[in-house]
Amino acid sequence: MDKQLSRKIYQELINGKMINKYVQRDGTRSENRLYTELMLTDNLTRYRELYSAISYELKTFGDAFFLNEVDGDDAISEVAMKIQALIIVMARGITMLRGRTEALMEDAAGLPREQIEQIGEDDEVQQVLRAASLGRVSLLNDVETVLVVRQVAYWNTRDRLVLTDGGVALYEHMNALEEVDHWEVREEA
Amino acid sequence: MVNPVNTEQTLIAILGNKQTFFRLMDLASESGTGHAMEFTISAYDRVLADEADRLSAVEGRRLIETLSLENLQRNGLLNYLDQKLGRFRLKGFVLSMLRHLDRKRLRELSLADLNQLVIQLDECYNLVSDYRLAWIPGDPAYSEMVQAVYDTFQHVASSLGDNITALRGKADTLSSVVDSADTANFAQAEQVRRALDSILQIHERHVTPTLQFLNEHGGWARSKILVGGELAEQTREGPMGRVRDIIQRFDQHGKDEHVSALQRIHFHILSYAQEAHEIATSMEIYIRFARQERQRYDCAEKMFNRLLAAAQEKHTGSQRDFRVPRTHAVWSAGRVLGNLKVFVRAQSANLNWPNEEGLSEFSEALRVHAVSEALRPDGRFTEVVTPARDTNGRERPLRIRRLAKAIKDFDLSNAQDDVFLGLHRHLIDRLDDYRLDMLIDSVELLKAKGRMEVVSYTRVDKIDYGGKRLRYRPWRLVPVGLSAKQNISRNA
Repeated sequence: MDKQLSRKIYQELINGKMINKYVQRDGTRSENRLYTELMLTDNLTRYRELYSAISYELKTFGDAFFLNEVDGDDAISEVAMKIQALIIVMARGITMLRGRTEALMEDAAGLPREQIEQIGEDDEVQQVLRAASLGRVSLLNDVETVLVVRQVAYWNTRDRLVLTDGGVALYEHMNALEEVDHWEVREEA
Repeated sequence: MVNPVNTEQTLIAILGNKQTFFRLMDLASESGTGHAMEFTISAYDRVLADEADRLSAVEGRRLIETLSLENLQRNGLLNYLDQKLGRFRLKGFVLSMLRHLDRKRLRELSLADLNQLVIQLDECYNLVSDYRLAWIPGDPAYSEMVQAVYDTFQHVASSLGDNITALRGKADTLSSVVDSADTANFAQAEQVRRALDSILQIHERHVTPTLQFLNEHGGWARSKILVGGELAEQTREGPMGRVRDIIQRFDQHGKDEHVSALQRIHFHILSYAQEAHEIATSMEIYIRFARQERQRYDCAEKMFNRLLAAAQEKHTGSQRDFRVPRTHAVWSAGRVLGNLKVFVRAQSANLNWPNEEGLSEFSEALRVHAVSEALRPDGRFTEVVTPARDTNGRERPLRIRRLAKAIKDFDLSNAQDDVFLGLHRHLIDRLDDYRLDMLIDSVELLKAKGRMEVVSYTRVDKIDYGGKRLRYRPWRLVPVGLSAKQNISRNA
């Protein structure tokens, strides 16, 4: 275990941020040293034990790590709720603008700020944002304070919003769940 | 009256001016008459005039003479020329020839087209299976049958060849649209979406049926026919099996020269299966991509609509809180993140909450309480009930907050003789759920407003309330800024 990296990891996780496999550094997408540190042989077990000893659970999701409190509230946290709502709003917004949802996941593509503002102007989107205690200032502000700050998304070199590894994993998970539901409904019919 | 030009020169002129006819084909497709490939005379004249304008006067006049409808009609290159309706159609072979010059214009075979080919093969099979047929060379019926079999086999081979070329052309064109598009460009996204839809459609409606048609061992479903008023069961023999059966009939009758010739055509047809398979494989990546994109699109819509419905349920008119509770099923997908949050802030929030709530009085009370706790001699109170046990850490701050609020308007003059009694009477009026053990906390809070002085070390008073008894030594409260003497004299 690298002491310096370990401290950085703690700083990130305790502040409710995700640690993703890749990060945007100097305009290029490169491997995240914190993620590599966690994934090194033997390290992961030790880190899990370490966080478990201080009542936290180190969780992996897709190519990302994040922290949960042991014996915490069973319900989804306020933050998780907001993240889910924002990803849904972004994905649906792209389809409304006749774009490709893929843009949200590709570093070379991304969603421009103007488009995000445009999505935020929709009445139905505002209702959905209010349902998740969002939309008080603007959608762009929510994206910044929830998705970007927690490293669920980032601004690429073209200043467009792209989901990080954790964000992509969550989005794909949401799609997979939706597909399973669909399948079950069809089978019942 | 135009000068007549011979067929050979006219055909050369058609091939030399293929773009004119391609424009005409495009116009017909746009106007919805693409299937019939019927052109309007006015459109043709316009396109031809445009083409002639680009040439010198002599060459232009010659072009108009050669490609004039009268000349085309004279050379038998038109199916019909209807001057009344202002429409005409080129002969099939001319259209076919033009299509071959631009493979993306070749028409791919649909299931209906393939069914027609199967019907023709079935007809052939009926011919070779006719027991009345004498397999004698020179017999007119036999010659007609042989000719029909060759024609059908060649027609099938040629149609499938065109079909494969058309499919390859379409697949290449569409895949290049998808490959060259910039994902971030929203204007191009619509173009890509249409290309992907076309790829899905071509795969489903053309490539898959072609592969089925060319499957040597596969069956082919035919529409049922009415025989004697009842639906007759039709054979499920596949087209390639049918071809094999036909060749077998020739073999049974010892017609070796036809067997080898027909087998060559059969192998030629089967070779298209490999090409069709290659096209299907090249399309797979786009199909997967298209299905994934379509699935994501549907999911985004469904997830959003469910969330919107949950939000709208909260819009009852009177309610101001539009938040969908965290326990609601719509948040099930986000549950993988569990209780993800800023844990540092959560911890510090517990320590800072009075400031955040603006209870400056309570903060001050806590501060004073902390000092007095340090200075307080042991055994000041005797036989008193202890403050309410803090079984739930979250309850106590709330109770203290209520007590602080309740004693805010307490008249300090009522505490000059006996703090406990004065405060006890005050709290009975203020709090519905007042209990005697709250008095201890309240007296502690009141210390922020003055200094406590013992009235008598020998007297022990008691208060009975709610089935409990508090025994205490009487204390008085000297407001901040007054000495005990001043206080007494002021009272006097």
